Amino acid sequence: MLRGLAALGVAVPHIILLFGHSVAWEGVSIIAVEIFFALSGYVLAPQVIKLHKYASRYNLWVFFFRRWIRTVTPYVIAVTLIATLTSNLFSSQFLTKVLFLDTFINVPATDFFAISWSLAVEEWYYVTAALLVFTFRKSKLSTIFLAAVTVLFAVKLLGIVFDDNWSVAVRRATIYRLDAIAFGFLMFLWQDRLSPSVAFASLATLASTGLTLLLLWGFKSNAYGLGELFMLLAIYCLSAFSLSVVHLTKLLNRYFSSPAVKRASRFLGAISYPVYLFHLPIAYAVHRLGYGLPATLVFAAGLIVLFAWLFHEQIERHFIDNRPSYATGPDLKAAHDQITPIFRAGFGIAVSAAALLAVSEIASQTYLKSIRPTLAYSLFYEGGELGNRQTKNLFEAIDPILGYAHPKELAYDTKEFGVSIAPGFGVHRPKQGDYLKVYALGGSTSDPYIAVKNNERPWTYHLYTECRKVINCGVWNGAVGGFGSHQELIKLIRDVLPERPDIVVSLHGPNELNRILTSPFTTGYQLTQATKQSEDSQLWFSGWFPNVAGLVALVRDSNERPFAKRDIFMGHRNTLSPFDSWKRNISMMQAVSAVWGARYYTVLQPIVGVGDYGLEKDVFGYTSRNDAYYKNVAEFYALARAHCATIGYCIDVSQIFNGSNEMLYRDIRHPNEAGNKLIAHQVAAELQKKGAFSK
Amino acid sequence: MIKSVASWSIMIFVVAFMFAMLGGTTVEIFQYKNF
Repeated sequence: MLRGLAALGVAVPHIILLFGHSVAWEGVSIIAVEIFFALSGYVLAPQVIKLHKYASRYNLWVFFFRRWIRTVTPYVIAVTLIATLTSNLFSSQFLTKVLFLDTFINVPATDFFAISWSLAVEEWYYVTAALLVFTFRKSKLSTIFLAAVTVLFAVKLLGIVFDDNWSVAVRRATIYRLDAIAFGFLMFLWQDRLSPSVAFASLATLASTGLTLLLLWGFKSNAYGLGELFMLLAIYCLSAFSLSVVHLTKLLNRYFSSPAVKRASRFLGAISYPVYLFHLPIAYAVHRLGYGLPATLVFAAGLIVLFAWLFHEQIERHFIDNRPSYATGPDLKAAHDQITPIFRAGFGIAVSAAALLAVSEIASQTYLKSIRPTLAYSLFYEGGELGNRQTKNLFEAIDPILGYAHPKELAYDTKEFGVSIAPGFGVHRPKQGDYLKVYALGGSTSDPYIAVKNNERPWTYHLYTECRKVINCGVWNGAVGGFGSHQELIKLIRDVLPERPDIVVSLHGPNELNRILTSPFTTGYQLTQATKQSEDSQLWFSGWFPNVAGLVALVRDSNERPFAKRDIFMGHRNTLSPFDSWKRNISMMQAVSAVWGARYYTVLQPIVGVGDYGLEKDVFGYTSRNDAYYKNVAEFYALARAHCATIGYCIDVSQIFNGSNEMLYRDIRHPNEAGNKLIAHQVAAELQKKGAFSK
Repeated sequence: MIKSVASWSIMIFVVAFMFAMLGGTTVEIFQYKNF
């Protein structure tokens, strides 16, 4: 009876507290939990005494199993449910919570299951009490428990000195609260010796209530600078109060012996634990419906009681009924036989639960996919304007502005190819001295790490050696495969100019053609990356069963989109040709560099299909320059080369392979190291001609 | 048998209700309240 009332005494204030802070209702729930503690110690006492009397290793395990099956199994079910609801499943807090460790010494500031601390106190009391009783089975029970209570008092005192968080933790942290239950045990032990009358017990209840309130007031106002002392006394006073209540209830019990009252008591007792475990999520869920306090209170309390009752009848009761019993005689074999089916049942339940969830998850995913096709599907496969553009996912790192980037750490060695790694750059530079700072930008032809992956040095390494012949210099290579001039312009502003470079060189070529035609600032690679990100977050939900959660959300609100059908905005559309946008980009790069005191140069790289490189046909099986790709390349290069000749900051090396019969390409877009060496040599010569190599 | 099916149905309904109201979102109210 009292247990059921205490459980409701916790649950009801918690529902009311959802509607705003109230000290009084908080007080009620605090008191109810304290009564739980005293009651636990009292009710469990006969088993502890039995364990002491028939102390054996077998009975110790029986004690543990009885407790764990009764308390831990429903607890794990509740924690798992709430963790799933709050996307905390298998988080570190979830794992420590399942082991009753997250509130052991301190109380976490954020807690997805805010009442578990009291269950941790209970659980650790079972373990501690059983082990103490078993270890000191020769000693008197009262001696053991008095010693333990004294030690716990000392722990609280030490806490005041050493624990900075003491005043926050002392009411809830496990190590400070174990004695609350031990007092209940001591009361059971001594109940015959001290059997106060109803009047005395009532007086004690009232007095301890008053005293607790007074002491708590003393703590809050830190009277006489002794706030912590008041808190310490208040904690003990709370225990005294709970003991008086428990005793008073026992005394009054005989006045309520009618069958109806007995049935009600049994019912309340039966639902108490599930009410305590499940009242928070149910209350929150009902609160979300948005009704007022009275309706929410009635509905939530009703639902909590209903659910708790069903949970008890369908689940908890089986655990309780099938607990092993203590071996008080010699028949250990029968006792062991009794334990085996319990293990089997537990295992079966766990496996079926996991299987059920897995099946629901797969089914939900299939269904969700069928009703909401993914963004990638509608962009790339439904025959939209994008057709089958580059859909490669280029690099492991996501750049929120540029689409993609190199990861901060690489799994391979770059040093032997003359490249050291800095965030955003591959670097070739002297160890010391005052040197000219050269920054390079570009796509895959310049990319330092792509070169290394091909067991080559990047062209910027050769630029570095060339430029060192003239002046002490260092080269920072910020090229990223797939980048075009629009990405380089942004990288220049964001990453390069703040480093105060002396020279900026960007190498351009076929990537100018790899963009969405009506959106010059987006390449196919960027779009792919954006789509991938969209795919990764296609479900709002994370955790182990995102699709089940997504399906539920869809049922809850058809506007809630489990799939991220967020549009990808590719910038304002225009009809600039690849050449026109390149021209704009390089002029902006030149202009911003000038403002920051840097000299900017753009380089047109050689490419198969432009000029007359001797091995073009033989090596690449290149058959017709009339392919759409080569036509576009030729068109861009014709315009770009003509423009290059008219501006002072352009270096055209696109023709330097002309007439050569040496192998200078790795593939149709990328020169190999021999080709890169030629490019670097030529670029360095041109830079020197333009007077760039000076401070 | 009927009783047990009905009980489980109601329980599953209540759990589904909790998921419907709270599932998926990170429920801050859970996270920050201490009781």
